[in-house]
Amino acid sequence: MIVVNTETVAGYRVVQVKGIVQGNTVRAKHAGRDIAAGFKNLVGGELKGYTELLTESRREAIERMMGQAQQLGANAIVNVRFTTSAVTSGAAELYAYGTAVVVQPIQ
Amino acid sequence: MVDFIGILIFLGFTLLLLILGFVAGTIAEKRHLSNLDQREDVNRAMLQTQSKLFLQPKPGGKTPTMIHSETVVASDYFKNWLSGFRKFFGGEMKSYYTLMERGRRETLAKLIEQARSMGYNAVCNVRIEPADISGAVTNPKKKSVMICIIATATAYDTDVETASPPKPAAMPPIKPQQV
Repeated sequence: MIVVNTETVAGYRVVQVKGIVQGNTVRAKHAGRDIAAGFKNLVGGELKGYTELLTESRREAIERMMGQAQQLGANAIVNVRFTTSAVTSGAAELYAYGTAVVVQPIQ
Repeated sequence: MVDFIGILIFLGFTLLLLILGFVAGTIAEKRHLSNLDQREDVNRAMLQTQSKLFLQPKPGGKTPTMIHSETVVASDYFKNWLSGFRKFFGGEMKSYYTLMERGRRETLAKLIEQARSMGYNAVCNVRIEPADISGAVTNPKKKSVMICIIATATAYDTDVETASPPKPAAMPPIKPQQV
């Protein structure tokens, strides 16, 4: 499946619009990482654990969105947008949404 | 007498944390910035646009795909402590300015590197936004300062010749430890 955050896909033409598809996930980081992050907060620097967690969550949200698009019979999602919201301290929601379309390669 | 010793221990511990934060934080920041300078010199050869349109896509090139990257950077204890004064007197918080700057540059560098590792030679529609993960919104009393930057873009193949464009004008230099 083609997933892009632009309105069109280079080399393809949109032939049918299937509607909005979405995927979200709420993730919490585990206590061990919280403690490690607490120490890191004294010395400064990148928090690799949180970065990884965020990457995983984003992938998860995209996969759920792709699942919905597949159910609709689309073969591409265009104009994907992300939003995040803080549910409670230590947990974040990632929400991905886009428009499911059917595309055809331009001859 | 016991109270006096308690206060002394507390002050000593705080001082220790401040020195630790100052030394380790400064080293980490310098290292990170020089690392970013090197990576950005390499990354500048790739066509990066922020427009929604594909600039000169290569006919018959690889199918465009979305890429994303994210970074979480924590501030150090010394800067957090100094920012308390700045909050009292008001003004620009320069130490947090560099923190945001580091987060943004790191995220963008990761994004470009990802596109290159997948074999693309251009990215368009780069979107960079912050996310709240430290709970600063839901729990403002929480002391830990960490920033999270997420970026999204679409990688594609272009036939634009990018002959390593010149380095853009640098931001005004900021003394790292000024708050």
